[in-house]
Amino acid sequence: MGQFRAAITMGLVFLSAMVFSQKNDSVKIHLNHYTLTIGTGWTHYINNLEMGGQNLQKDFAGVSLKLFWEPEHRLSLGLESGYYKLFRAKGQLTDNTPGQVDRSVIPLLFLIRMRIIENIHVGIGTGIALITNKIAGGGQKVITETRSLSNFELSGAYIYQLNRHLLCGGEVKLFHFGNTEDTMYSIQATCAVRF
Amino acid sequence: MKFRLTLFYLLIISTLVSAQKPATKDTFDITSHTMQFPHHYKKWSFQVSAGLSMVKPPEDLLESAIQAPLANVHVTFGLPWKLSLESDLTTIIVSNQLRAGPRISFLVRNMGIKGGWDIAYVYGQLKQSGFNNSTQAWMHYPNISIGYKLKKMAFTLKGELAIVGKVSTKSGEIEVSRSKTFLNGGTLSFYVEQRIHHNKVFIIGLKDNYVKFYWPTWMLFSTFNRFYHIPELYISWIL
Amino acid sequence: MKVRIFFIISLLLLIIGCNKESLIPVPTSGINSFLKETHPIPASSKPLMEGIYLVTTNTTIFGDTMVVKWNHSGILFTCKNGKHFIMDAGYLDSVIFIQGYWRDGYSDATGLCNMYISGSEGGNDVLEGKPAPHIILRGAYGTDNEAPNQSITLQYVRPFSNKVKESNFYILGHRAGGRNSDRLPVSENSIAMVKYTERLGTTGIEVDPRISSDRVAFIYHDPDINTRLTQKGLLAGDVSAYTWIQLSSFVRLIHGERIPSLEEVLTFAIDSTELRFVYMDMKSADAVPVVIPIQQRAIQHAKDKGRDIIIMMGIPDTDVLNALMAYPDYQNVPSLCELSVDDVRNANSKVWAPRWTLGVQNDLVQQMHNEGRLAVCWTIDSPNWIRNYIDQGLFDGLVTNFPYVVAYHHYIQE
Repeated sequence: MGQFRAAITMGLVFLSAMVFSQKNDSVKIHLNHYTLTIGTGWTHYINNLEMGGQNLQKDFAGVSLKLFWEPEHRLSLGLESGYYKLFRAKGQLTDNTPGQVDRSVIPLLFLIRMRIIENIHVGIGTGIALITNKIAGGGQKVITETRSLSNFELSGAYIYQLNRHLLCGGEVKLFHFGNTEDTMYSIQATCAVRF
Repeated sequence: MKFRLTLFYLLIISTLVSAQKPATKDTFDITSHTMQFPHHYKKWSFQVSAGLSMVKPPEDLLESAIQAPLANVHVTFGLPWKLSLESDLTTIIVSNQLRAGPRISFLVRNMGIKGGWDIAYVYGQLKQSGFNNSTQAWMHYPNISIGYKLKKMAFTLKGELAIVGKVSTKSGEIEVSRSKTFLNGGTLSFYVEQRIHHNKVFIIGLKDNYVKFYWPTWMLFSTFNRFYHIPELYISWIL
Repeated sequence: MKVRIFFIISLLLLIIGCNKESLIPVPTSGINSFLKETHPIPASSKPLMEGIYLVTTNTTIFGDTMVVKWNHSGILFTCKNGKHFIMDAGYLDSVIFIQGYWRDGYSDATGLCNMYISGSEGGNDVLEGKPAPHIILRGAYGTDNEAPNQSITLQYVRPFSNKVKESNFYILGHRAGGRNSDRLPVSENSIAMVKYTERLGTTGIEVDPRISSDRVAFIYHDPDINTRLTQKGLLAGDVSAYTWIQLSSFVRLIHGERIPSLEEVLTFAIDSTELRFVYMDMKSADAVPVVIPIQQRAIQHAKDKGRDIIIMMGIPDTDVLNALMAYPDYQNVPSLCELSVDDVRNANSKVWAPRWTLGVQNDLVQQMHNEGRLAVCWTIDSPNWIRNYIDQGLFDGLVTNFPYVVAYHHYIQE
């Protein structure tokens, strides 16, 4: 019993020495983390159609999923995917032809994000995207998929740490999909788990 | 008594081991860890970075151009008297550019300026529709960079001219085009270098190529005497 | 603050870098405005104006010689270096007036041009149908939409040689006349291009047939609907996945034209042009059994109208070759084969069409001639190579994106 007490005492002393011997650094060092973020919110398509864009539905809900590696400094690297509906055209698509057209996109982007001040981040991303076009009208229903190789994203985010593992916040993103020259922006609420 | 002494000694030892370190100040200075920012590179010392460029070619060139990111390795070697050598290999396998040249840099407090002249060799080879096509070119890139640094971040603006010394394109053994010395255009780039992990530095850059002959798209056999804006997003990790 | 500067610069670079290449406008101010007051040039007078001219002013821009050639739609002046004039003409009293615009095929330079031939400098003789060896064309050209203010003078040297007059050489416009990247005022592979193409000096066209999901043959080069070829619209992806009605209704080419059906293109070429060769560069083997009946109907229609025009099914690869040879009575389908001379014989093709980068291949071309076949090569764009192939080769025609350059080197032969 006495030896047990001694072992506990030594352990406590050792740990105390370890912890309290470090003064707070003069700069906050953020330790190496990974975060998994899910986001959802409003998306808006910037209508630049030269044909058939008169009665376009441009506002939808979108969802995103991001995995970030957050090393100890300001920069983070990550991958983002998600699902966004770009636009829907319904009704008289041209003077003579009724129908419905839906276009959606699943991006897979490599992201670089930088914390500029506490909680505020800006980011840039590039990668590939799968664009799906569905038409019903003027004949049969047709679904086509296009692989877009030059795509870009700009983003700004506010991320607040709730506790050691949970973060939440909001994000504004602008996407451009090169193959179809489609541009949209999205405002999302995000929730992240840090591990 | 023995026990108390042992405890005392352990206390002393653990305190020493875990360091009454003086408060660890972050002493990182971006200057010596950068590659694009103009500064006096460490003499007789190499720096290497590896990265990718994502390109958006114009529609005229998209018809048969290979769309893939450009892989890049960049090397600097410090010399005395504010000189350095830089070399760069950029490739998408079917198109490759190797360039190298001297630099001279000046650093005054937080501002740096660097000038240089690169010579580049371009080689491409691609089998298209059963034909063995290839290209070779010699190019010159006189360049100048100005930079501004903070303690942990550096910004560099770089401008360069692109001069084609000679470009020759072949299909099999037949030379299908040959051009001699012409001003191909220029590029303007902006780089941000900052720490990413421990003291490793990450480079993000945006580059606009305003050129007639864009070497990664040689396989188009373009006959146009026309300038195009071709933006690149550049990301690189200093190893 | 520093980060703001970084992002402003980044956005600026992105904006600068992402400018969509603009289409070059065809100068329009004043074009043909005076010609409305004039009478059309008589058909008998037109050949008297054709020939080789010496450029006596501004030779650094247009070179020292020019070829002048009438076509179905107007009059073409063409230079060695890719510059050319698309013009119309009329006469009033004894003066011949010529108006139009000039372009550089290899860059974006363009401008207006006005010229005239006075009565005493050849106008009288031409209009009376007499040979006019002393024609002098005087006028001015400008830049973009500015009024012409730089003088230009052309002096008639000689008519086309007998070799040229007796030749049946085909100048084949790629994609019916040129690509969208050549910044022509009409879209590639469109009816508007078939209508415009002769102005560029073409005597034949190459087009790109495909079929829709409901097996209607149409003309379109790329496999997908994209912003290179079409105005941005509701459709995207594989063009052959859509029905013909969907393509007709929802897709417009970059200058606003509809995608034409193959039948429309062939009918227009026969009825409304003087084109003598149509080369259908098949984009898929599936299209072969659909295109052959259309081709046969068009050939019959041309025969009924007394039109001298050949309409060839192009064989670019072995898939199309196999599809053709699987067709009943394929030996009687007029075809043009891009593969080997043995494949030409197997398919009984009337024309051999090797890629120009294989060289002039005069021995093989001569073999084809000996067998009663033609030979054309594709797609040749560099002025130096065009000259070489015309001077040293035995081809019966060239496919090109720069038909005015081919026209220059063909018509200037002695």
